[in-house]
Amino acid sequence: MMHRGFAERFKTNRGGIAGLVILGLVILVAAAAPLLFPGDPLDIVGRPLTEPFEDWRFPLGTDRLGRDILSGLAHGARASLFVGLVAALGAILIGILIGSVAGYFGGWIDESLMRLTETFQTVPAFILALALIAVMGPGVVSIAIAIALVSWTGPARITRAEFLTLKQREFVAASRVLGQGDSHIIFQDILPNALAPIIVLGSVIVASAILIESALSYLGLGDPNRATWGQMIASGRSVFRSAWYVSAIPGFAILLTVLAVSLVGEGLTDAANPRTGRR
Amino acid sequence: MSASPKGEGRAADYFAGRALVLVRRRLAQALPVIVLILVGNFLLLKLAPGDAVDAYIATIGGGDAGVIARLRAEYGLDQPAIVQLGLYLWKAIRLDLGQAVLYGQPVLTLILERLPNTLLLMASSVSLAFGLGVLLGVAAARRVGRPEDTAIITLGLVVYATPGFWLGLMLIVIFSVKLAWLPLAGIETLASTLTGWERVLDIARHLVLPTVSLALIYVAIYMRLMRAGMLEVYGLDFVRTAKAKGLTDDRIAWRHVLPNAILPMVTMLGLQFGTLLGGSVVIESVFSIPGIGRLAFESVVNRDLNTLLGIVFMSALLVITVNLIVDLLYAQLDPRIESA
Repeated sequence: MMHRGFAERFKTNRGGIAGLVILGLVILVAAAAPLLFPGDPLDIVGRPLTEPFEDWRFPLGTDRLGRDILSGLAHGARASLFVGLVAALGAILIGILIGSVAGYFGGWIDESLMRLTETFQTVPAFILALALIAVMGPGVVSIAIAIALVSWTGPARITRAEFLTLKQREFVAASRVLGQGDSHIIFQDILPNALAPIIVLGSVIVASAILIESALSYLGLGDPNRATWGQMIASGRSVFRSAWYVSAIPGFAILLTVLAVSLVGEGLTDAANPRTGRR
Repeated sequence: MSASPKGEGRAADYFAGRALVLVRRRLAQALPVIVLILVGNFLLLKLAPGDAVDAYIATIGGGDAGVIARLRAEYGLDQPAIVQLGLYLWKAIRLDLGQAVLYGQPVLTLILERLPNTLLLMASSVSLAFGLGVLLGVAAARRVGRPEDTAIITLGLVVYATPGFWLGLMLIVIFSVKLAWLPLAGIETLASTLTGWERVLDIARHLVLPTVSLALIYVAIYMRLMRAGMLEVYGLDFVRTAKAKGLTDDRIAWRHVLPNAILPMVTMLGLQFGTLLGGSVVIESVFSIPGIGRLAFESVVNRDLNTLLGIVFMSALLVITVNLIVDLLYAQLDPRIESA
């Protein structure tokens, strides 16, 4: 798919490996959350506002209602990763579709699709996401859809740029001479060659999607029956004079996860562009 | 650029001419975008459960069928969709964004009333992010590959991964609750009688924490751009000439490389304006600043889609305007740029 030796180059990138390890741990915790912490993380299980390390049944303490913070973190990882991955995947699919059609066909199709892209770039993404959620109703799925719908312009522009150059190449002409149809040329011939930069951009979108999700669920637009990191931070707001750790801990979880994704993204970028090396 | 000597006057005319071409071209490009946004807004209004009349009736606690039908007719909601769309566009062109049900005020009045607070927050955040980003980027580029460079890059990644609203809360805990140095929330002390410089100082004190929270992620972005830009310019021939002339490293960095590397950053300012505006939604909510971001959040909570879409429209107009200003600035700064 990418250049030969891609994996070897990624392996030499210490930051990328560190990111991969942290991200692996987060994914593991998210996957194992129902086993490690059976029961609803929103259930009241202990004395309210138990401080971290005070009671070993709740290593990270409890919030103002007496909910286990560690259990919330583990279950919250599921929502963050779900939204991050689904939104990024959706954004990339929409971007590839619009970018490839615009770049391949050119002319008025390109012109109108680019106007559409510009429109989505002009409206502030977060405000548009709010409007989409207002229409769809709050919840994890609407958040994922809303983020996908406001994040596809980057992939679309990159895909279009790749298609504009690649469609001039000889292998495309050869394929056309062989009588291949447009959809075959777009998806079988050109797209595989255009994927590398799009995938690298994907990691940036995952990172920003996790951040947007945390902000939206902080504002209370997530699923009220599901633990999310943003919602945990919000629940600590009313007690942060006395128990600031309730808000602090989930914030660190977000920071660590987004940092891990960014580090992996950096590693992918460096490995995909061996000549630029460390920019 | 009025009364000036002959040559300068000609240059001014030249710039004015180019500016006019640029403005005209940008407006022609913006028009379809504006229409698309309005059509999108209209679609969202139609897709949403219930319409403006339902929302209004809900807030006044119900009404009989006759009143509802009359209101529908008044708003044109009994017309076919295409007529309604035309009506919506015609109203939007005159900046008639309807009434904000909850506040009993026209949406436009509400937005314009709150816009200054948002613009103030954004201006201070952009200044901080740009200034700090440039300084850090230059510092990193001058020590490329050394531990200082790695440290700045790592710091940038950590900063980029920090949710701004969470940082805001933590800053409140430290500086407002524990240390009591800075105010907790709001844009100025409520019901205060401060005037003149005292009031300015009061507002500035209120702006410190929200500004830092909103700016931080952009510090990381500008730092990276600045560093990359500096490194690119360092590789150019004229820098080697400057070195060969025996200029000091400081002089080369600040007088020769920086001015060339900083120009593309100006364009980024315009491109980032929209995301910054989006970011102010959650920051204004954290710090209870009565700006349009907080208004957007309140509209979602109160299911006032019409007000929210009014904000979508007005913020898009704002983004277009700011980008136009940035383009003009850029053309002024770099005469090589054709008004393309």
